[in-house]
Amino acid sequence: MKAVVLRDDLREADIRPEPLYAEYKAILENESRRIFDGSIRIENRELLPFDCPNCGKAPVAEFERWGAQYCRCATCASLLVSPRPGQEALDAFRRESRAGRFWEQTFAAATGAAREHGIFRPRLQWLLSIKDRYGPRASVVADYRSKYPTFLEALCDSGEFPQVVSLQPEAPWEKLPLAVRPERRAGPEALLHRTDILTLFEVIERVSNPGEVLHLARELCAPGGVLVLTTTSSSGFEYQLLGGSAPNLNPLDRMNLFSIDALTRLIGKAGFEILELSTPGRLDVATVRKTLESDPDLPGLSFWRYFFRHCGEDAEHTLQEFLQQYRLSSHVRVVARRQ
Amino acid sequence: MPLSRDRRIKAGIVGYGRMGKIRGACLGRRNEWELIGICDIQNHGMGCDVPVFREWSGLLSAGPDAVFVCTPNRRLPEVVMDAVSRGIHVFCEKPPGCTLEDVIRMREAEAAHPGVKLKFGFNHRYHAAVQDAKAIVDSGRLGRVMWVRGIYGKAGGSRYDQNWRNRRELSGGGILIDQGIHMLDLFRLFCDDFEEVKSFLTRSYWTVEVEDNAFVLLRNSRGQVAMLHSSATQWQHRFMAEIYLERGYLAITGILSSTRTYGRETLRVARCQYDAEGYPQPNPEETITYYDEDRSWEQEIDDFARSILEDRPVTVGGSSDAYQVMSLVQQIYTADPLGPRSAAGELTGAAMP
Ligand SMILES: [Zn+2]
Repeated sequence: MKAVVLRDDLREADIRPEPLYAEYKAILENESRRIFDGSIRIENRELLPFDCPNCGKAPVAEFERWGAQYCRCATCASLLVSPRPGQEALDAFRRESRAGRFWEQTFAAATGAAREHGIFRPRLQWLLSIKDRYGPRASVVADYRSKYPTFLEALCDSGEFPQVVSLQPEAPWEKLPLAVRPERRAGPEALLHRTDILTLFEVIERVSNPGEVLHLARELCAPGGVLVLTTTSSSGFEYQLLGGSAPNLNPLDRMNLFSIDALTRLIGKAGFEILELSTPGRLDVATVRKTLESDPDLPGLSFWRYFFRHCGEDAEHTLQEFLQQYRLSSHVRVVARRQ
Repeated sequence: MPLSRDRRIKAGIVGYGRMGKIRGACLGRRNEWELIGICDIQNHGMGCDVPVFREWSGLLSAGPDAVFVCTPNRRLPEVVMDAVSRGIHVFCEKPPGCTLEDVIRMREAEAAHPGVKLKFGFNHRYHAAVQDAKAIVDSGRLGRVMWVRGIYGKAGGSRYDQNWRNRRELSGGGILIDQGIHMLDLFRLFCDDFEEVKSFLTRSYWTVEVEDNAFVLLRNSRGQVAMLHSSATQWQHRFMAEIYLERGYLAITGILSSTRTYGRETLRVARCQYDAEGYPQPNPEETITYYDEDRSWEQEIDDFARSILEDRPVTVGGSSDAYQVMSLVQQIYTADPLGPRSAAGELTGAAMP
């Protein structure tokens, strides 16, 4: 297995600029509280207890965030929201969500160029390198629960893949600011055992049943097909240090934060061989610094307060690179081959 | 004669020193193989649970489908030729003998027995960083390879000056043929063959009859230049291979080995970033890959098993690779008239503290 480190100039302030990000979070918090306390009316909104899909055991309550209960699996240390709404309820909520609309229409528009440069451009390079290394003849690329139509279009425009398909979008196409063309839309049944490269960008942390999604991923992949996923991990610096105070912890989008161990086993159990497991996050250190600066009362972090006060920007860069090298950043990416 | 796919390949090992034991351990981890005996004149095989032969002919007569020849360089060709002539598939450690002449003789034996698979242990091609680098170069996204530069060096080692590897009649040369040959093989992987050869060979420290440092410049008809420094006085163990292309670069540093003394295997990749006028800017963004495990031994042996079981040609480390790289070694040795091969090149031997 291998781990990848990205050395570039991605900055949190560029992709999560204030005060826009705070505004987005406020809307999100409000909606999250109303989902979890039942005041938003959606079909099948019943909250159900959730067992760790890796260990099969009920996780233990650890902290509350925006009305949701985060629980820790005592065996694999994953952080899971339980109880939680089912997928239908989540989808129904997302169709109407004000936060979602704000994200798509205001936030994405304001940060589009920075995200294009800092996230989508490296992501496209990454997919091309995966193609070169593991599937030079790959023709069908499918993106499951596509969230970023512009990225999908860029993938198409690269001319590298004859067939780029979006499977089951996050929101109905007409609600997305730049909808994917109709010929690129499909339901999962259309690509069963046919997908050469299947991408799950930020999917498994936000679905109600991640085990089921990984099972579907296997069904979609052709024999020898490659699964590409990104997610957020509870093993990372940001979440280990800040726990329930992590500023980006949003129960609706980060319902499942698997530990690195759990993720490895889940993907293996679903029938994939992991080729790469990296944590190429570039923002943990900046996020933790910002949080400590804004909350002087957070307990137990005196070493890190000292670090940020005395060591300077070089040390922060070195630390972030160290986190990447040893799979200790919160942002995870995986390449795995269907066995 | 292709083996039936449902039976294991019976293997013998000739020479049960360090390499023989590595190969043996690797065979034990693979389902396709069954070790049926070893041959070692120094009884290194005592305690093995397979028959131990004093003469290789005894082992070859015991009915192996394939043998791994892990003897000192000088012995390799005769064992290889004997095995090939009996229709036994052969995996031969590098270097492929002591001289180019050795390779030619082994190739003649191979040509006379076309069903036999002959593979040489150019194991570095199976390292993950090298395979990833090769895929990137072959994709063409970074353009054409302009030049490559390699450093491969070690601090000699325990009793280095007394090691058989530094006795020319047993080894054929010094650090270049022992370790530098791997880097030459990688140069060929990325640039194919070279026609022009320049070199300086020195005995900078060790009192040995062969070179302890080789400085080599190669160029081919496509204008690609390769530069190698192979050293037995690199007190900090070092492996570094850089490949510079028109639109970016790759750098492999460290190589996973059993001792882990060459550092974490790492591949850095960058594509050029250009200023507004289209000139490349220095220090572009890099992607750095760290490798955790060395599966090169298994992959190499699996490849060999596939060649045998599926009757496929040997594509990595075949006798043509062996011929080309030994031809380079020979040219490097003859290109420096002051090198250790000539009496005029004698340098003062090292003073041990
Ligand atoms: Zn668990």
